[in-house]
Amino acid sequence: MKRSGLVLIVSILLVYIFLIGPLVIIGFSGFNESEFLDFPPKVYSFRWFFRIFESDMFVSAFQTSLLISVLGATGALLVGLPAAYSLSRTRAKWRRSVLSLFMSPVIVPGVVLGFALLKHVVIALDIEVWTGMVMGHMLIMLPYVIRVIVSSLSNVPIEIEEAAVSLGCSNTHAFLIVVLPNIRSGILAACLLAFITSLNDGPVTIFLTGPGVTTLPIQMLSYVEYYFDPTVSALSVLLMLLTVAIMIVIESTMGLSFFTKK
Amino acid sequence: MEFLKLQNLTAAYDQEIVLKKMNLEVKQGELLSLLGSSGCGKTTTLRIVSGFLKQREGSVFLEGQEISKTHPSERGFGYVFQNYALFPHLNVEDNVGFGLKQRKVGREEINKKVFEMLDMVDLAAFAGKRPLELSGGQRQRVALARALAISPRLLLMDEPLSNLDAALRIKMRMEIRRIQQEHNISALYVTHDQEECFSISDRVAVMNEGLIEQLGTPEEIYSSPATSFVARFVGFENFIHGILENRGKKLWFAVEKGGISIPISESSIPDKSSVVLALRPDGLELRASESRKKGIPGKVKVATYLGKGYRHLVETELGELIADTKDEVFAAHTNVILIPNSESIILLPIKNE
Repeated sequence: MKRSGLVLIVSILLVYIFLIGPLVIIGFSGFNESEFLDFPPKVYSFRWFFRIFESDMFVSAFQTSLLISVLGATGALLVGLPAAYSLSRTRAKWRRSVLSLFMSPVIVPGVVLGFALLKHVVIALDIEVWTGMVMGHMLIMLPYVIRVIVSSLSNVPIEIEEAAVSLGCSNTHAFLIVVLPNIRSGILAACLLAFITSLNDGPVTIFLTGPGVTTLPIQMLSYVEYYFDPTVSALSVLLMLLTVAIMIVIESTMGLSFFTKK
Repeated sequence: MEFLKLQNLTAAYDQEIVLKKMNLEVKQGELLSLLGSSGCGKTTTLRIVSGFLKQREGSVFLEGQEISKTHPSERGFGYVFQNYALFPHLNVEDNVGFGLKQRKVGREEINKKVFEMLDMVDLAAFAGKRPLELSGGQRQRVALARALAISPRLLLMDEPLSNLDAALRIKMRMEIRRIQQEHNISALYVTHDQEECFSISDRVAVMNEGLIEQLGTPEEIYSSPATSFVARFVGFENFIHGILENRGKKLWFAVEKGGISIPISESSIPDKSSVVLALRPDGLELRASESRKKGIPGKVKVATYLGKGYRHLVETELGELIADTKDEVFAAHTNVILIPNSESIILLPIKNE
């Protein structure tokens, strides 16, 4: 075998070990019977999984997370759908710049975004914790929503709308009965992708939490500051399963090609 | 009264003017084609008539009524798109019935009309199929049926056949012509294909740079193009610049250099004017240089086989000329004489620009 081939294989292996290794360790330790996080477990059990559902702080944090993600996704969709539609239909020169602007929350580090939101929006405008949290999540979801819907709209040529209009539809009606049914799977994929992004977010959320309002990842973070039992590992396993399930749904509805498409 | 009238239409994208004060009239029941290469303004014209594009100046009249401000959905025109633009989420039946549904026509009546349309385009057996399950020709027919189902006052077609293969294009254009004539439909047809255009149209408007160069029946345009642009479009390959001279009884076309003169039968162009002489490749007779005939001497550069004959590219002192023969072929580097057939000659005025 050529030397370069060997180097490639070794580096691929290393990447996979560093990427997947920690997840495997966490996965195993979630099934540990013992009171402490150790690896590999000596006795396996599901007790920490049951513990999660018995603990009020995780259940209520998860409910908060769900509510915030659902509200944020709805908001992101309400803003993102019209934005994606106009972006995909315009031929103006500013199209690219505006698209990049909408993508910027992905590029700016979460910590920066979270801190900026806290200092210059939430505190400056004296916004209530819940509202600030939903707004922040809407912001981090917006790029995904726009990206996926723009990509999905590129498969719906404008002539289809014009055909509907020439046959007697108003512009709005044409959008509702001709465009919308053809981007349904794109919208679903956009929402799910935004949803998991929001559900798993830590860096932005940590700045926006307040009394009585905390999300699951933040709750997990504060839990591991005090406890060393495998509850958080068990919870991580559940979150990973949820993410994998959602990704499978996205892949089967519209594919993940929008990540690579321009 | 004319059915559709375009008056002084001017259109522009940003700073670029694509239509310059265009005037055109379409008669009831007539299929009029806009013929031209890309960027000549033909599609722009169609889009203004449909209402999808706003003109900068000028008006569109339908049966004497100004419709420039009418929303496209209220014009009642059928539009056939180049990419068909069928609704992918609806089956053939619902695609064709779409316009009638928007018009709140009763279910039974829609059904009746849809199958009448599908019978017309011979697709009744495909009513339940989705557009993606159909071939290109079938999609094209669905698009036509969908546009005609609303009994449009005017049918607009934008290069409807350009995505089909050659054999299907010929079949479909006869089909479109048959349906249009049977139902006495007034139609505006946009194409860049001269043959397709001539085979389907009652009249043709040849467009160039936002203006109509010539308007006439296909026969008129084919046999007597008015400008060199049109001539080039209808198969004239040889263009020679020269001066018209009246020498006693006969009219002669004289080339400035080389002293070559060609007799002309008659012309309405005044004496001594500069003109362009245009000839199709089959209007130049090719003879071996030993023959005593008078003509343009030259040397064959290359000969190619066309099926119905041979085409020669001949180097002469007037530049390269193209001449076709039926069955005789002259090999490259042969010295030949080119004899213009006076009946095939067309004289065109030189544009003063």
